[in-house]
Amino acid sequence: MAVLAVIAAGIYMKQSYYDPAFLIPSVGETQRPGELPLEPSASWDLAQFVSPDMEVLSPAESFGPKTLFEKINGKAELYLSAGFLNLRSQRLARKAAPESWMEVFVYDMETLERAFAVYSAQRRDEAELSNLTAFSYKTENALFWVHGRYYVEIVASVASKAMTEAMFYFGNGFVRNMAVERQRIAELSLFPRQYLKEQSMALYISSAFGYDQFKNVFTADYEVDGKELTAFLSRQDSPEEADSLAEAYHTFLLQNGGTDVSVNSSLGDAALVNILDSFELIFHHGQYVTGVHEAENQEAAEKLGLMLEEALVEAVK
Amino acid sequence: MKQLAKDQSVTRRDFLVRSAKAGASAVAACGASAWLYTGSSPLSSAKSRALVTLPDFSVAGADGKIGIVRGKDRKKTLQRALKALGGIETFIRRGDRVLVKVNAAFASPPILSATTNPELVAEVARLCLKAGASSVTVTDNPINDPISCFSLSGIAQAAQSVGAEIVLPTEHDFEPTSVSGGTLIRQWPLLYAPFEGVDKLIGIAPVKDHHRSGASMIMKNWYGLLGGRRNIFHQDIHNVIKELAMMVSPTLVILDGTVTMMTNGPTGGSLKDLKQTNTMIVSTDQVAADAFGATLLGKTASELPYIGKAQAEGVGTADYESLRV
Repeated sequence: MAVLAVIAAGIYMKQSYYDPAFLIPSVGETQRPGELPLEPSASWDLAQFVSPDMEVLSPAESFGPKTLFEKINGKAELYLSAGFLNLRSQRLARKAAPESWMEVFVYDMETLERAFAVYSAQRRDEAELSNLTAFSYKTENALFWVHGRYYVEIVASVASKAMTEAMFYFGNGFVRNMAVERQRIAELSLFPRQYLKEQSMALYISSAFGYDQFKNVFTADYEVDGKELTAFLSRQDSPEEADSLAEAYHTFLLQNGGTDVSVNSSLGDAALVNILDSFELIFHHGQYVTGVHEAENQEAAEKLGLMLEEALVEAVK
Repeated sequence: MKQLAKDQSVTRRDFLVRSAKAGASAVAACGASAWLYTGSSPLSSAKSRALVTLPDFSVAGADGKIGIVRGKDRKKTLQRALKALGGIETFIRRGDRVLVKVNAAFASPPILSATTNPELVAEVARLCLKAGASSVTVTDNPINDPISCFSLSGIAQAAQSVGAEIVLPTEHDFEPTSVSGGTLIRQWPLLYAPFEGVDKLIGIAPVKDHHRSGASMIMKNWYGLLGGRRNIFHQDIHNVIKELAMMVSPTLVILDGTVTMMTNGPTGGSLKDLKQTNTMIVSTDQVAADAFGATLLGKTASELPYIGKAQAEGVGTADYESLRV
C-alpha cells in the first residue's frame, strides 16, 4: 500500500504542475474556442432571432472570464473589471450574399448597471440613437444595445440597408424574448435635464477620475453657458458613508495639487477645489456623493452644483 | 482465542492466491502509472529543447530609414514609400525566402481595420516575388481561431492570389525562446517553424488604438509570434512590447495608417471608430515607425511608454524626423 501511495503522490505532483508559457492552445480545424459548454436552453439559442434571409455562418462560441481574451484580447480588461460573466457570439451570413456577414456578441454582465457601464464606456460619438431599448444606438455597420443584464453588439462586414434590417430583426427578437428584471437605472433620472448633453451619461465601476475609492460613479456631461463640465453622483450605503467619501475625495484632490476655493454659500458645506486649471465641486446629499468634475470655470461649477442639489432634494423627499 | 487464531491461520493455497492478487495489483498500478505518465511534461519537454533566437533579418547599410507618404491608395503609397528607401530591391534579393508577419489577430472583416489590410498584404507579396523572392510566406498566431482569422480578414485569399503561402500555426510550430536582457519573455514559446530557412522578415500592421497599451502598431504586432497564455503579459504591457521589439530585427516594417482605428481598439467594431488618415509608413526602424504612428492617433511618442523603453534598449529611435528620406 505504501508503494501505491508513493506512486499516486508522484503522479499527482508531476501532473499538477504546469507552466502557463507552455499551455499552448490547440489550433486548427478541430479547435473549439471558448471554455463553457453551450447551454441547451432555448432562450440562449441565438439562432432563433435570425431573420429568414440569414443563416448561421459559424457555430456559437462561449467565453468566460478566463478565456475572454481569446476572443477580444486587449479589450477583455474593460469587461472583466466591470464584472463580466459570459460572452456568447455567433456569425451569421446573408443567404443571397454570404460575403455579407455579421457577428453577434452577447455579453452577460450580471446586472443592468454593469451592462450599462461597458456600453457607455464604448459609446461612439455621433452615432444615431435607436429605439430598440433605452440604451441603444446604431452606426453604419453595427448595432449596440443594453437589455437588462446583457450588453449586445452586432457588427456587420459591410454597411448596407439589408444588413441593418437583419441586425434590427435580431435585436427586436432578442429584446422581445429574453426576459430581464429591469430596464431603467434610477440614478440616471437624478441628473438635471437642462444643459445636459444627450447620450453622455456613463457609469464608472471603479477608479472614477483616477481616485481608486470612487466606485460605481455615474456621470453626465453638460454645457452650461458655453462651458463644458461633468456632473457625477454615487449612492453609498448611508449618509455617513457618503459624507466620509466626499471628504476623502476632497483630500485626494488637495494631495494632488488642488487648492481650496471659497464656494457659493447656497451650496452648504460643499468643497470647491481648483486643480489643473479646472474646478471640482464635491458635496453629499443623503446617501449620495455628488458634485461637478472638470468645470471650466467656478460659475458653471456652482450653477450645475445647485441644480444637482435641487434634483437630489426632490428625489430624496 | 484459540478458535480465532485457527480462523486466521493461512494455508499454502491462501498464501499463493493472496500473493497473486497483490502481484496483479502492483502490475495494475505500474500500468496505470505508465499510462498516466506524459513522458515529457509541458515544462520539461520545452525546457529540454534548446532555446531558439531569431536571427537579425536587417539588411546591412539600409538601417535607419523611414519613408512617409500621404495618399488613399495603399498600393501607390506603398510603392512610393519603398522607392524613397531605395526600392524593394534594396531589401529583397533574388532567391530570398520572405516571411511576412501580418496582424490577423481577429476574425474581423477588412472594413473594420482591426487586421492588416489584405490588399496591402497582396501588394507586398507581389513586389517581393517580382524582386526575385523564391517564396513569400504569410503568418501570424491569432487571438481567435487561425482559419477564421485568415479567411474572414481576407488576408488568406489576398496572399494566395499573388502566389504567397499562408502558414497557420500548429502547436508543434513553437519553440522556447528567451529575450537577451529581457525579464518577461523567458523560455516562452515562440512561433518559430515559419522562420526556418527564411532570409527576410517584413512586419505589416495597421495603426490602432489599444485599450491596454494605448496603441497597437508595429512593435505590438510581434505579440502574435508568442504562444502560450500570453495574455498574462497584459499586466506589464509596455515592457513586453519593448521585449518583443528587442526580440525581432526585421528587414522592413510597414505601418498602414491609411485608416486609423482611433477608439475602442484593438477590436473596434464600428466604422465610427475609424478615421481616414491617408498615410503609409515604411521603415527599417520599428521604433521610428511607431513614433510617427502615434501622431496619427493624436498622441506623442512620450504618451506610449513602450516607445521610450524600446529606444532606451537601443532598438531604434523615436526621432523619426532624423531618419526621413
